[in-house]
Amino acid sequence: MKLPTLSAPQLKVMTHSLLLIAAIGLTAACSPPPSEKVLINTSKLAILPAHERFSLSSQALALAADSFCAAPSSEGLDLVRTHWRTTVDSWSGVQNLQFGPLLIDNQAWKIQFWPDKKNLIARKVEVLIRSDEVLNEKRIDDASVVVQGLSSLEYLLFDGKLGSLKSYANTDTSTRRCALLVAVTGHLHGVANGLYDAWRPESGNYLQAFTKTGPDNPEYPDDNVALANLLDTLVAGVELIKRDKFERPLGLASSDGQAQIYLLEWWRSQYSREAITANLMALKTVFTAASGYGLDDYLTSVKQHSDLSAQIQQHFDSSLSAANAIPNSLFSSPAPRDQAELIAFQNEITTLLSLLKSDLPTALGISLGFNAKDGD
Amino acid sequence: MQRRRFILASGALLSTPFVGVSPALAKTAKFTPVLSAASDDDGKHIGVWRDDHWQLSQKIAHRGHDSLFHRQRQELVFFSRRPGREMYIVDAKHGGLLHTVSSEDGYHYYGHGCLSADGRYLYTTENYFADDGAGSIGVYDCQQDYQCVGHMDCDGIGPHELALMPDGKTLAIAIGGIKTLPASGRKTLNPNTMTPALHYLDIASGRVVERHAAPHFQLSLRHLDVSASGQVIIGAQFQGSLPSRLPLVYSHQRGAALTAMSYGELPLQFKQDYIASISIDAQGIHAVTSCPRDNLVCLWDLRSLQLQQVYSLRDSAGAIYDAAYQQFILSNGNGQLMALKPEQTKLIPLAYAPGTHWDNHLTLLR
Repeated sequence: MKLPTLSAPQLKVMTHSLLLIAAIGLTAACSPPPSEKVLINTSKLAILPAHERFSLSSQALALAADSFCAAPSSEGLDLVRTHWRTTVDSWSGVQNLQFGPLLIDNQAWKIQFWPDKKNLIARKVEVLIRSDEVLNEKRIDDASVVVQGLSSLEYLLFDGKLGSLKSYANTDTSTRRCALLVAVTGHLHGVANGLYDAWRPESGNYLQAFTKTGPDNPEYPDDNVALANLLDTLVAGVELIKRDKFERPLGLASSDGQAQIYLLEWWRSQYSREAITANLMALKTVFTAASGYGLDDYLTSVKQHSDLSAQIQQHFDSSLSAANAIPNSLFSSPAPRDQAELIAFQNEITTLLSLLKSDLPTALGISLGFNAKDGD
Repeated sequence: MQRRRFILASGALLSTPFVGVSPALAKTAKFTPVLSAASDDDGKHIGVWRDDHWQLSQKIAHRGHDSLFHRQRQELVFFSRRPGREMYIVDAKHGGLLHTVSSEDGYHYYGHGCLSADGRYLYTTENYFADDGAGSIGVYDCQQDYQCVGHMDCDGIGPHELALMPDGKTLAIAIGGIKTLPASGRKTLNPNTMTPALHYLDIASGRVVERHAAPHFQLSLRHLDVSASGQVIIGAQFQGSLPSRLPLVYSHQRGAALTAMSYGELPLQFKQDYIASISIDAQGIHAVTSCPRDNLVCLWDLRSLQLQQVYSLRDSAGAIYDAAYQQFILSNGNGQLMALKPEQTKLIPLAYAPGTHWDNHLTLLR
């Protein structure tokens, strides 16, 4: 660029401001505004990988079920159970999202039927096995959500009476039980892969819908509306852990609360605590966008709330430690009120929830739900 | 008293400046202007939103709730939310505040009202708190500056939304069952002894002539709408331990029992059990319910009494049928106005007012 002849001081000022303009232009071109950066990083580094893991682990589970049913063995069954646990871990990373493809037609129900207050799963699965209907993925897709997904598989794999090798080998219904196991795992993989596809840029590209906000975006007119969904996800996720996965089934919700142990998530497999841990790790990853520019950085650099950002991360960590310190499965705890580790976890999760529910919305300047909180 | 002065002091309705929305949007998606209460950084408002701006808006001292449009008189009526004691009557043409009506001594409003068939009288749901929270229907003469001319006993605590039946003689009243008294704010005083119900009140005799108890004593029946053929759709807000797994939306015909609307084949799980607005279309084919706490909007088929479609909408609030464009208009706490067209699986944006929280109910200016 050729500059007009100017005196030295003028030139200096001019060059300086031109450089500044150029620098701003460059920043704008290469780097989106912080709020958009949060959306992009959280989607690419937390949400998309979580969906990918869920899709892959459900695929491995379906393959393991195929192999097991080709030649039922105790090792084969153990392997299917292991893959079921891995799939529960990965599902726990997707379960709490409060927006996007998971919410369309309530996909979550196809994956998990919980709580099952009336023991519908056992009843409906056994009825289907004893019927003469063809058992394939199509039939499962048409069937009630009760026989679909991880909950139905948990019953098939872990039920105290019928979830053992014996049921798959030497009984009159073993062939059909295996056919159902194969069909449900295949169907689950279809659902999981569908969700992953819906997010992937190469396919449904919800990633773009969520990150490129603006007047032409039918769902998200600006970044704040999209960010609000991340906030909802964090709050709803931790609230679900505290209330539904912990306090209520263990009778810790009130001083005279009765334990309702069969309301625990994954009680049949005694995997309740592990699922809570997986939830917390995933929610922390949503908060931090893994190693990327997440809500944590946004709080610090844009909203000047570095203290809160650090506090929330610390309490995710201490909640995780407290969950890991529980020595027994939640299902087998004889007297929850007297077990110090359970009370310690309850205190941690309560503090974490209060930070996310009370302090974080104020710091972000995003309402948690105007009508939801105090309608009429 | 102070509040009343505040309103008068703030003068006639002001048209607030343009609030930005893409011109492209405004061109493609059309809707009939809506009345709503709203809050933003500036405070609490009532007004009429047209296309991409407030056609008229007025600051009020505390939160508004529902509203109605008196077509014959070309007047807008805005109700205060409980335990508010003011009703604002606004000139629909020029936007001037015509009257601020205060509830009678010992009464406060619940936030809803409806007109008599001839448009002469306005009926409102009220808390007769001086009588230990008895539910009451206030009667106001629209021709006499909306003067209160009496009250009718609705025989239930916490009447909330009401509607005139197509016979023009009967009011359908959602009895919420929740007892509150101004001294204890919005605190529920009878959580274990609630008796929510649907009541029909004969206007001529002032008597309740038909009543249907809610299927559960904590299933507070709060909002309803009536189709042209007299089908009442009523929505609940559960006051006990969540989720209740009880049906939350019921259909009713005079003389029959309450019928739960079915979720059919659609897997739907409410976590927060909270239905806000209900709107039925002009043909009586579809109803829409907003569920702000579950960030959902449900579309119901009124012939099969089944859920037809579920839409995600964060903090969904108002719902009203807009016959001119064959769509339901929805509002939410994020400042969005969206169109729901029953044949489409996605909501269509109509307008966006950043920083504005739309309150629970919409009314059409038509």
